[in-house]
Parts: sequence; structure tokens; C-alpha cells
Amino acid sequence: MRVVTWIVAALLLATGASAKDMLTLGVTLEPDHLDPTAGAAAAIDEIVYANVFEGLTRFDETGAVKPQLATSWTISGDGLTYTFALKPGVKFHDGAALTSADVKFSFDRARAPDSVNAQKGLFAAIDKVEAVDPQTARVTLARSEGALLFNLAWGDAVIVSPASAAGNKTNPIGTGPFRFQRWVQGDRVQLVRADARAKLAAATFKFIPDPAAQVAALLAGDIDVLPNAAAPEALQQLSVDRRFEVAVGTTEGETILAINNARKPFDDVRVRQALSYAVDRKAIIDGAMYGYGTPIGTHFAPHHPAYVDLTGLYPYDPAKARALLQAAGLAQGFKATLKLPPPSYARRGGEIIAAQLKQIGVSVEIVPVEWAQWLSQVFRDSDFDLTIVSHTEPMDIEIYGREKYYFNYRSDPVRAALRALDRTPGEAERFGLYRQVERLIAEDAANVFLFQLAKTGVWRRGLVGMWRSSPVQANDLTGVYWLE
Amino acid sequence: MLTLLGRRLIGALLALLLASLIVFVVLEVLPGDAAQLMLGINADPAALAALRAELGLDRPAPARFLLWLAELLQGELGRSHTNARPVAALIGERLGVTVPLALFAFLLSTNLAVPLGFLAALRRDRAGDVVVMALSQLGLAVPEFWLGLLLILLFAVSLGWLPAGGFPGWQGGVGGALAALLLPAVTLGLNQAAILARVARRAAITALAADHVRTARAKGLSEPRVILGHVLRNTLATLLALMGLQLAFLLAGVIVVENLFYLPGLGRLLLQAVTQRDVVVVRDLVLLFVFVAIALNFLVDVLVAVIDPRPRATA
Repeated sequence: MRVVTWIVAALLLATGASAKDMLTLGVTLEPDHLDPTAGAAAAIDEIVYANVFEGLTRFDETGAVKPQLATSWTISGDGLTYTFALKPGVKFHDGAALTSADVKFSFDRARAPDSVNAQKGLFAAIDKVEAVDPQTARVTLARSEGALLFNLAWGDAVIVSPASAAGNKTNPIGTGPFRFQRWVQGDRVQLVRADARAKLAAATFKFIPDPAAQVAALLAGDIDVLPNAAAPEALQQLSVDRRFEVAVGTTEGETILAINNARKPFDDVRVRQALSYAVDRKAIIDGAMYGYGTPIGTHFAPHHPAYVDLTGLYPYDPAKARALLQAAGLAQGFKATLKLPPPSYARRGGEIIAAQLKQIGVSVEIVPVEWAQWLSQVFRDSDFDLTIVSHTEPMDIEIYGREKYYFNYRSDPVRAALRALDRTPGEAERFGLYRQVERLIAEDAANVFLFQLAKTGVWRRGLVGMWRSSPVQANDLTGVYWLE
Repeated sequence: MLTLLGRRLIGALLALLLASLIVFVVLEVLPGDAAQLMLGINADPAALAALRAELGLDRPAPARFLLWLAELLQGELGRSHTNARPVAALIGERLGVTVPLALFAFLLSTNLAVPLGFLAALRRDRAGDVVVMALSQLGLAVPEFWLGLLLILLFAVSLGWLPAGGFPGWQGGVGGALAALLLPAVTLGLNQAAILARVARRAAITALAADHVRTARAKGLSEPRVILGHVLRNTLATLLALMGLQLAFLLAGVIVVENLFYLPGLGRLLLQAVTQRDVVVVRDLVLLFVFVAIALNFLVDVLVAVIDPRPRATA
């Protein structure tokens, strides 16, 4: 009798009570470490952003900037001084109270000459940071920076404590609703509830690199959620399975066929336009992404209010593409290499693009590369003709104005418009300038703009509050809970 | 015997030194910059330089090579570039998965393959032989990731008997840990067994045809005594040599299976370290694998010498 009672109790523990406030997520990549202020890997933010670490501001699910550790702020008339009022009563997970000294420490550390912050540019306009009183921090800018509040919402700008910052790579200590508990390298990271904001008692991120194994783990009940299912081919099957809910949302990932604008023959705008006409975006989205993805005609997220739909500028038209090549003196076509990094959008999309370019006489040699090679050969040394990559940083159209950037695009009107953006804090004017840049780069056919990556999440029915879209690569679990 | 041992030991040390040089040079030549990988595409040049200095990557290659050797001689394995944890600890954690998995797969493979190989040899060209050889052909042809996926779909998804992957750790109980290793071990074991069974069959056929076996049979020895006492013993040298290779292969981190079953073993550590260009981890790991291979080889040589007296007599 006693044995039976024990077994029943154990079963209840295993299935009922405990399962309803615990969550297990499957993610593809394991981060190298867990400090978002010392690495660019999206895998870091996927675990700690908004869960463990918080910034003065943050992004919500729509990508809008919201207050987080700062409850309010005032901006001086010249736009150069921001005064932030900190949320009272906030504590780091090691018990230390959050004060404006931590804000000063975090930003000064990110800006320092020996800083290893991956997005140091976010802080470039800052001249000094002062702790006015324990609850008030003042940031003074050397030049106006219309995007400061946006910049401070990035995971790279979270507030850390001087007492724990050095250990954040393996023992991250922040102010978020979840506290870091354990990292079993190669296997999982466990977070537990730090305060009442978290509805879940615990969350586990399991690292499952193989796309098919991710789906199997979900079907077997080993995990509850795949925030970004790596196997789009399985979504059809999962969406008709009543146990699961499939959510297709948006990301900030503009996927492009990047062109080395400095290399012949791509320095000729007619050649770049010919490539744009030769590529059938729909075939790529259907063939490489199983239909998940939104076509884009410029380097901007379609869900953003400042987006201009330019997909009609270069409709799929191989005849026109051939005519443009002829005009450029390349009637015989030419040869080019296409370097493809590991993600499936690139490897699968690259095969389709190579076939499409063949139609207009461009014979493409496909060169698969791993990320390390891509970063050093393509990104650092600009040693490429064509490549496919998804630019996942939010609002990154400013890369078209950079002095030295891997695709070597150069346009004075674009640079002038981007400089004007830096000086403009007003939203309506900013949107106008963005639209102007969007048009300019599309007319120049700086790259072939393919599609916006979709976020394809799958989770067990009854789970509420998961992000459907991801303006940053994050899994904010604060509002996530199980329906009884 | 002792001079043989001494010569082997010096050879092993030279092999290790040569391996360390090769590993270091290959990692130098391989394109990719650890600092750029960590800081990504928006990284500021000053931040990249600061990180390279922090990792010691700004020093010239020969200096880094000598520093590594000096550290190794002191028993120091260095710290991971990416998360600053000691490499010894990283490897130590993973051994708790890879060693049991390798032994598990090895036991399955050996216990399955050797009897089947012998069976096939004794039933040569008859039904039993054909079936065993067909199965081993299939075992060789089926890729591990596919076999593993089929096993997951059957035993984890449809039947729900075993987990689809992951490793709960030994502190959670031996039962759970073994359950997590069962499907990966079967996946690995079947593949290895397919090779071993073919070799066992071939060795047994040769041994069965030997004169002393005929003599033993003529003397009226029972068939089991002929097999165990005369045939098995004569095939052991061949089998041990292959088994040593197979165990070394299994211990050297089985990347595909560890990735598919998301097991935190040495193979996954190596794969992650290579993709992150975490050269400190990669070179120490590769050297460890070389060491394991040499040690197993040495062990096999000693065992063969014990079993087979002929080389001893001439040495």
C-alpha cells in the first residue's frame, strides 16, 4: 500500500504539479559564454536578454523601445543630455542594489579603450556618464545621436554590476526576473525565478544542433518549445498536430545576395540591376524556406512603419536582365563565385540562385564556407564576388553609409541622408530619411534584396506569452506561463 | 620485452611531439579569427585588437607554440578562448559522457559481432552466413545519422520508452544516464559491429583451415573446444588490433552521433571549438586523442605479445 502511495506521489510530481511552472526550450546554438556585453553571438541574447540582464531601455515584441531599468528620462533642448530616473528597489541577483554608479560603470566599461564590447559603436556618441544621485544617471553626448534610446535597448548595453561583471561569462548576474542557476556545457542552461515578475518557476534551454533531432525532441516531449525551429520542412506536419501550436512571425533578418560592388563587372549598376531582375524571390522563398519569409525590395524590415515596398522595382524578368547585361557589354555572360555560409537559407537559396543566374548567362561557382572563413574572407577581406547572408541586427541600413564595409557600396547621397539621421531625433523626419535611403540603395541595386527571415516558433498547446516575432534574437520569458 | 617497451615509448613521445606541431600549424593556416567570431560583424577595430591582446593572439606564432609546449610539460592545459574556463575542466566534464558511451558501444559491438562472425564462418556459404553478411553490408551502408534518427522516431517519439536525446548526468541516477546513452550506443555499436563481424568471419575462416585445427578435430576434440581453444585464440591478434582502433575511434569523440543526440561529449566539444576557432581547446583535445590512440595501440601490442609468443621469441 505504502509503495503504491509513493508511486502515485512520484507520478504526480513528474507529470502534474511541477510540469506546469517549468519550461524546456530547444535552441540550435550553444553560446561560447553568457556575457552579452562581450560577444556578438545571438545565442547569448537568446538566453539572457530580458530574462537575466536588463538595460535602461528594452525592445518589446514589436521592436518598440520601452523603459526598463529607467522608468523615465528627460532630454535637454539641444538633444545632448539625457537624464534617466532609475527604477527604485532593483537588486542584482547577488543582492547588490542597483544604483546610478552601476550605469556609469557599465557604459564606461563598454566605451573604454580596452573594451571588448561587440557593438562599441552604440556608445560612440557618448561623451560622459555621471551618477547625479543614486537614483539618477546623466548621459552627455559629444554629438547628437537620434538613436540613443534605441541603442541602449540592445543586449550589448545591459547594466552590469562592478562586483560581478568579470564573472558574467560563466556566472551571469543581472537584475532580470530570472536568475542564472547552472550551465552544463554542451547540454543546457538553467534559469530559475528571481522575483515575482517571472511566472515560471524555472526555464531550461537545451542545445540541440540537429534540425531533425529538434523536431524529434519536441514530439517525444523532451522539450516544450522550439522558439526558432531549424527545420522549416517539419512545420507543415507540426501545424496539423493538435498537441502543438506553430507561430510564424517576423525578424530583423534581411536576407540578401550581397554583391562586391568594387569588383568588375559588379561595379556597373546595369550588371547589379540585371542580377536583381534575374532572381525570382518567390522561387527562393518556396524552395529554400518552404514558403516562410517575406519578399523585400530594399534593406529594411517589412513590419517597420518606415518600410517602403520596393519589390516591384525589379520584378523577375530574365529577358530584361539579359538586355541589361548586353548593354553593359556582357552579352556572353560571365563567371562568378558565390560563397555560402552554413545556414540553410544560404546553402539552399544559393543553389536556386545559381540556377536562376545561369538563365541569363552568369555561371556561378558555389563555394561553401563555414562562419569562421566567411568572417575572415568575405567580411573582413572583401574577398568574394557574391555571397548570401542574413543581416539580423535591427535597423542596420546605416551599413550602406560605412567607409569600409564588405560589399563596398559607395553613394554620397546615401551618406548625406544617414548623416542627417544622426542629427534628427524627431520620428516623422527620421522615417522620411529612412525611406529616402531605402529608395536610393534599391535604385542602385547595391545588393539583391531577397527576403525577410521568418521566425517560426513551435510550442506545446497551453503555453502562453511566447514571442511570435523577434525584433532582437531573444526569448523573453517574463510573461510566459502554462494554462491549467 | 623491455627494450621493445622502451623503443615503443620513445616512438610514442616523438609521435606526440610531431602531432602537436601538425595541429598547431593546421590551426594557424586555417582561415578564421577567434576575436572576429566572438565580436561579430559590427565589432570596432579597437575592440577586436583589445580582445586579441587579451587572448594572446597578438604574439608571433613560434612564441605561442613554445609557450603551449612549455605549459603542457608543466601539465597545464590552458584556458578556453571563448569562455575562459580551464580546458582540463571542460575535457573532464565531457569524459563522463564519452568514455561510458564508447565502452557501451564497444561492448555491444564486440558481443554482437564476434559470435556472428564466427557463426558465419562455421556456416560458410550457407543461409546463416548469407544473412549475417547481408546484415553487415546493410550496417556498413546505413549512415549513422539516419539510423539514429530512425531509432529516435521509433523508441522516443512513437513508443516513448527512451529520451530523444540529451544527457541528464550521472548524479541524477545511473538508470537515467544509461537510458540516455542506449540509443546512441546502439547507433554507434551497429556500425562498428558491421565492420568487426566481417573481419571476425574472415579471421575465423583462415584459422579453421589451419592444419592444427584439422589435427584437433582428428584427435576427436569436441567442436566447442576446437572453436574456443584453437580457432578463437588464433583470431584474437587480428580482432584485438581492430578493436583497439575501434575503441580509439569511439573515444575520439563521435561527432555525428553526439550532435544528433545532443550529448555533451568530446566530439561535440571538438566541433564547437573548431567552429569557434577556440584553438586552445582544439589543440589540447586533438593531442589528447593522439595520446589515447597511441596508448591503446601500445596496449594492444602488449596484449598480442601475451597471446602470441612468436614475436617475443625473436625479439
